Amino acid sequence: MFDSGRSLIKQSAKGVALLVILAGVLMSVGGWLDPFTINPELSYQEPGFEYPFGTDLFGRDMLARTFYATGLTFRVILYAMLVAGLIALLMGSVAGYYASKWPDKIISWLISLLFTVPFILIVIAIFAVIQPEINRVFLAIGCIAWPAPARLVRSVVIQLRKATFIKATRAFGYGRMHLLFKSILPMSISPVLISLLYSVPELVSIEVGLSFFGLGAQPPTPTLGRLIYDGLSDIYVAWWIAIIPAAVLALILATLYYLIREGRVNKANG
Amino acid sequence: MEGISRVLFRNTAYSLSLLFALVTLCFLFFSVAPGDTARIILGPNAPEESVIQLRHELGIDLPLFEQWAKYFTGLFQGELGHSWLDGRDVAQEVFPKFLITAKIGAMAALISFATSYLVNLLIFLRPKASWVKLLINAGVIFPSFYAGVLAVLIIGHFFPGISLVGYGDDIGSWSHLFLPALVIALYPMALLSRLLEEKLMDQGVAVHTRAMRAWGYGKWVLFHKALLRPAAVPWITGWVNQLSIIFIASFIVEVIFTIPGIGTLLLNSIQRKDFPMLQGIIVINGIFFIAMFWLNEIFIRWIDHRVR
Repeated sequence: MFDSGRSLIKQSAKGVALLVILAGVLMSVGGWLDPFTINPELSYQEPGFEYPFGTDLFGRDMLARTFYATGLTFRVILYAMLVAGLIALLMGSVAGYYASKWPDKIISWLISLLFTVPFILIVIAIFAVIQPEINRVFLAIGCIAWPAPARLVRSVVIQLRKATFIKATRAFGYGRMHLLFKSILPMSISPVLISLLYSVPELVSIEVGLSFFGLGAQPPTPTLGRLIYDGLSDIYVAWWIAIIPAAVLALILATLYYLIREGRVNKANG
Repeated sequence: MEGISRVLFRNTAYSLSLLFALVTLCFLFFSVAPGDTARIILGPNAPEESVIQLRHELGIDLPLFEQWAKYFTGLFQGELGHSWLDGRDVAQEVFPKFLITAKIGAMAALISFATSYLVNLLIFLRPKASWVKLLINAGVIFPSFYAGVLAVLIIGHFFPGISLVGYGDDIGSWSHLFLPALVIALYPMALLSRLLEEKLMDQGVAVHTRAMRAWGYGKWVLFHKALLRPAAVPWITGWVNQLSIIFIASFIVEVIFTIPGIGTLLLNSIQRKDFPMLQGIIVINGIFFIAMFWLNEIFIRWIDHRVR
């Protein structure tokens, strides 16, 4: 389908983006980078040999800040995915097991309620009331991102209920809880993972959007959205502060998008 | 098989139950929020009597249930309460701004819909033009907030004559809102074109398509009758689902282009913790989205005979 030259570019772009994410996560965990030290003499250094990504108003190293922010953003999203995945598994399997009985009706109604209102408005409402904090951001995103995977789990469980091995388990006299949690639930983990992976670009956008409204991580802690938003006010003085994190974000989003797309194409072919 | 009137009734009842839950939850959420509203408005040095009096004026000394009933009856009369900060009427403040946002959103949605159709048609008719697809797909790396920034920067740099920011009197005019709408549409456009492409590919290998091709139908008819028609339902549903992405993007892009829409109002209300205003914004958006999903359900039943 693709000629080799283009795919080489794609491959290397993918590699670079994955490296950036990985390096960011590692560095933000390990604390090797120093994104916080203020150095007034080095204010607004252009990108150069010593500071490849330049420095900001306070003379903080933008390279360190960008990597740290990338890692932090992805950590937030990883935790959010964990929370969303757990809720989706529970809700979806219960709804699927009791399909078209009252638990299913309640859960499906909840799902459509969360689907109708734009995501971000609910999160904004939550953080208007409680103080925004990085540990709460992923909880809030997770509590709101579960409907899409839960729907998938529900349909998988409905299909599984008719499978022979489930009938066999039931014939052996195992109880409802055993059926639900030991037989059906493990089989529905992989669709949840896939569905959550598909939603990563959207989750990144939500994190960034929240930071844009000042409801994500609080300064001086940088996330990608925060960096870009803060860089905007300086854009005529120092273009690199906003543009370089934006480029990093674009690279990562493009990579995720193509990874997901290729996964889909491969699945369709295989 | 159900009659269409029964389906209509059931869908409407379902949507109304969603609306009821949304308004109630929203009300509860902002009512139980920590902090003494009257004290916040008057400041820490105000005497206790005036705080009590303001509490009475705002109606927040009533039991929660009575407040809720009051809010609900107000809602039916188009009353959404008053801002805590300057006493502005929330409904009168939110509704015109919502119209501006809705205008941008509608334009962006139409752009993304039309583009996804045109791109797929072009690629079907002229397979060599697949670079167009790549170009459109590149939109996925432009989440609207920095696409907006880049647009302002680039146009400001190369065409200094065009003023983009600050609209003066003709705020609502369609031509002024076109550029923000285009910027917003970049991302949903890419997603929607890809969605339609996948659905079309599924139909392309289907038996009915091969049969029609064997009968010698032209490419134009083949595209519209054999491919597009069965793919229309997921396409349109995907489009309606994108409305929330488009609206979120619109909130952000408005702030960048300094358009006085919901986004700007939202930012101000968040920064100043103006809960009645936030509540009004969420309720009005909720009504709009529930109505859109209701319309979508009806429309799909009308267009697709399999769902009927």
